[in-house]
Amino acid sequence: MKYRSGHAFVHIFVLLILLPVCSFCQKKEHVSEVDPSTLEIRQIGIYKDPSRTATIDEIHKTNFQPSETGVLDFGFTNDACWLALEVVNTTNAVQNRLLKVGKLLVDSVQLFFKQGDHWRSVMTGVNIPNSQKLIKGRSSYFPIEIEGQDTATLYLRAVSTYGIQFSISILDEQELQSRDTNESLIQGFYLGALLIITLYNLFLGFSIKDNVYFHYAMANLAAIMLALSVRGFFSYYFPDDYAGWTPHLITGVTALYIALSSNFNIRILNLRKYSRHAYYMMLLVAAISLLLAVGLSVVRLFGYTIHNLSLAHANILFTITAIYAGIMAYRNGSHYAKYYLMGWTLLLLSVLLYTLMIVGYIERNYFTANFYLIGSVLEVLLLSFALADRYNYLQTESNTLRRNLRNKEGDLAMVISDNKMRYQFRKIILEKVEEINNSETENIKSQLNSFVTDLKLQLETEEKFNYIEGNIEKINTQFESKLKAKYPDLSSSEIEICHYIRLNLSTKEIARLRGTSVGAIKVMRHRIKKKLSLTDQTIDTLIREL
Amino acid sequence: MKREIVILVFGLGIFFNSLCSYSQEIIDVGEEVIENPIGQRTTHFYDSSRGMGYQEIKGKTFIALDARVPNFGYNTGADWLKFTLFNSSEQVVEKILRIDKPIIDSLELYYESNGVMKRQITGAMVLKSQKYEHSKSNYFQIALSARDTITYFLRVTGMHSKQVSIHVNNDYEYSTYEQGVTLTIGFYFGALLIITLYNLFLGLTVKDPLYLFYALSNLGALLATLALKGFFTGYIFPNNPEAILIVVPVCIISFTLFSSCFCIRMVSIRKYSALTYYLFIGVIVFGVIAVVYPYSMTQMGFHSTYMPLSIGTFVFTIIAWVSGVIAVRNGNKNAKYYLAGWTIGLIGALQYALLLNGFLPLNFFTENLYLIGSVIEVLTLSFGLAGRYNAIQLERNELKRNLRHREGDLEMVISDNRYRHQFKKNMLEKVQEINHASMERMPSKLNSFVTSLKMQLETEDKLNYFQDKIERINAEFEAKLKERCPELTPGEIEICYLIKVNLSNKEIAGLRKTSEGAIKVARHRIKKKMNVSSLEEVEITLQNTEA
Repeated sequence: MKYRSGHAFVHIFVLLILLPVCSFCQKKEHVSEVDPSTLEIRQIGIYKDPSRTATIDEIHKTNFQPSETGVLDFGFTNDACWLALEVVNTTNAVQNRLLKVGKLLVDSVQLFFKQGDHWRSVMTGVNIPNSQKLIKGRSSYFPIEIEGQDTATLYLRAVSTYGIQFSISILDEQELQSRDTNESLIQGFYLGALLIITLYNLFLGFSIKDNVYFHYAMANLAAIMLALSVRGFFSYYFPDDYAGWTPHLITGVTALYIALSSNFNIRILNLRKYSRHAYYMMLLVAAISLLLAVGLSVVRLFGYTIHNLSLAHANILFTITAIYAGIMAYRNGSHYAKYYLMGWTLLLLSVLLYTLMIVGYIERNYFTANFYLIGSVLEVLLLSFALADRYNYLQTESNTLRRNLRNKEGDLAMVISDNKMRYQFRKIILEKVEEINNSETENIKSQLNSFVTDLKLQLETEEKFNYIEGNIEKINTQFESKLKAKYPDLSSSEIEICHYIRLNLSTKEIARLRGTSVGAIKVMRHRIKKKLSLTDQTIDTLIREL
Repeated sequence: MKREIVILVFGLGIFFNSLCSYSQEIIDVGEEVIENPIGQRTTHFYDSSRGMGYQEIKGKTFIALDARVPNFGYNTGADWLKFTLFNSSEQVVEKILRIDKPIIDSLELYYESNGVMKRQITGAMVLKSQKYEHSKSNYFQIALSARDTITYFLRVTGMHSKQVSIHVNNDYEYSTYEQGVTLTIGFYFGALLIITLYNLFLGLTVKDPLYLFYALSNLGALLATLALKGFFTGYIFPNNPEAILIVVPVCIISFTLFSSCFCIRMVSIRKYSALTYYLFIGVIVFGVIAVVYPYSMTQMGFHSTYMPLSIGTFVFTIIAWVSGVIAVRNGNKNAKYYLAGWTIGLIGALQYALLLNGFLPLNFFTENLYLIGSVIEVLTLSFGLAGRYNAIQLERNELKRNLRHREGDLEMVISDNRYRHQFKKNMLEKVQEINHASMERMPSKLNSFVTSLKMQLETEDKLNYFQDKIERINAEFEAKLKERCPELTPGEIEICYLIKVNLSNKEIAGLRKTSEGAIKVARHRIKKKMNVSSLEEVEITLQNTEA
């Protein structure tokens, strides 16, 4: 009775699952994308300062390690990360450009450059109030001006509780506008898509009175908050108020996302029933993340600096647990696990990819940095199948019930008519007995004898009827519909006879039941045989095989 | 007609002009904060021939405007706006002039700087390379040296409705506005696209074409909104005026087209009101003409507007709403949700059509209500889906209950049949006994046999009566009984049936294969549970619990 959704969707799903693999085929995001005919980045070196106190004069004298990888990925660290680069102007004209540090979430980035004999510095980043920034944009931007044929040495100092990745590029004003516009479009799209689905599910859950939709909406809401805060939505739109509470917001939202998603997973997969093992793991992960978030916030409130690596690991743990839970529930027969796996595997993989990227286990490229957005949009779409399935399931069930009800009503009518027939027969018995009673004494004996014979015969038929009625569940329900579907031109009385044949009644018995002669039944059997287009096979075997 | 209204508006404008002292005020760009938009500080001249140049226009008399955002609706001429900027500061001030509405065909700004006439151009039908910045709205770059005063002339032409919302912005305001517009477009894009896909998926899996029509209707709304918000002019075809000329109206008409199809399907309007059905068809045809006609006129070199298109949308919204009302009044269950959802969405579309035709002033509310409306509509229609879901669930539960009742009935009748069969067996034994008895005792035995047979027939008669009515009695009787006295057990309920069909305690005992005493005890329990004092009352109560 279970409704099966089309195989086409399974194929689509498999294709979608393969998508994350593309991330490894993507080109690396380069440290610099500069038009080499005007500006050129010559040398890049890195230095980690665990004390976080080194000044630019000290740094200037230290030896920077030359970097090897394309993206300078420091991962999570409490150190101050320094980056040195030389920008060469190959033209004769003064070049005014923007230096972009391509990650949205860096607490603070400081640019040092030499003006005359003095070092000057400019600051930007999430924790810096908007009014103190020279250029307001979605990433960290610094204005740079380089004279013709000149070489400028620039130092960048980044401090962050999030993964530190430098992807440096030099842009002009126009490119900044178009990049920020693209980012706005992506964020708007994401916000619109997920928010409307969240509200939709909330409304749906409210009107069909099912809690799962409510929990789903909550998990979605947390996902929106997380994705937007990671993409710098809040720091862009609420810049000055945001600077103070950004560290707490992002850790809090991450933990909330893990906790609410775990809650939803537990409910939709009914983990308590299908896999207690996964259930406890899920609870544990949620508890760990919440505790971590509280712990990190408290440590920061006391003025210490601590990065979010532990939380990123908790997130990795969560995605693995969630996929495991889905598989376990599916194997143990949870009905919704199929849809869960379809919708969530992709999302979880994309989140896993992203987290592995920020922790520094895999490279940053366009795909790893953005795939979670696609993942979560696809997830909400794929879960629509679950709703459709519930609907279809109900509809199929209703249809089956309706058919059963019709059959039962048919059965009932038959049994009742049988009952009436027996009653009628008993009336005849009464008449006969009264007749015997009134006849002469010497005749009584012989009359009684013939009466007993009659009665015995009658009992024998009734015995068979009792058998029919006892097995009515098995016999009647499907046989008739099958017969009708296969041979639609059978009349109702012919179908009745088929029933009797199926129950192994002899032609004589059928004749008595239907109150006709044996010859009439023989004719009918012949007609049925014709209609069933039988040649050598007998009716009896065919009907019993049906 | 349209001309008269425009003149009337202007007439009123002149009247109010005498009351508004600040209308002719010069705008000081040296100040930090400028009150935007500046419509009330502009004056207007309408050039119906479209032929006048800057030198000719300079000498004309301009009429003061009263609205913060001048709304000229649709016209084929050129609207000229004149305003003066002044720089009170001692530095050069650079500002950006922003005109919000993205689908004005062309905007030309004329001014004199050091005695030389300057001209800047922007608009939907202008190539990107000719514009200042490649942006979503229309922008002009302006610069005033210290204590300078410049009078600007803005020439507005276009096939679409003209609301000229002029803002004087600095760089930061400009980029904030741009990001805000982009975010809104992205939001709306995301929201409607996901709902379209969601319904598409749902329609495919549930195998109900209605969802596909709904998805299409959503797609139409999405395309129309994106067109109005300047998505195609700003992002997709910034360098292709020919494409813009046809893509924008086609997107707008797709809303009317797809939504009409959905309305027709959703409320089965053909069944309820043939007239409304034909009106829908009429609107679709009219809409297609309203796109093709101005387009081909323009291609042939005539000036024309898309006013009929907005009138078509206007009429469509009214018909769509009326169709909902008709369907609800005729008892269409789906129409209830449709009406609730669409009323909001359609009010948004309606007021936007009024705005475009110049009947409503442009402000944040009138400009964005249709966006909010269509998002709310999408959400409200989720109740429609939930309603269907609930209905089918209710039906399933009802069927389940009925099935249970029928199964109970069947079981009872079959057991009754067995009982009768048993009785017949007993009868056979008795007759055989009589047969073996001596001749003289035979008549008396036969007599007693006849009596017992008669009694049996009487019981069966009653049962037959009961079984005849089983269809009617059983399901509802049980439900009523349970409602009246929920603590009755199934066994007790069965006894209630038998009491109801007037069987005696003895007969009931026979049927249930227990002693008469047990039945008496059961009756007593029922009496207690139903809170009645006598057996008669029980019977009366049960008789009155009529199916």
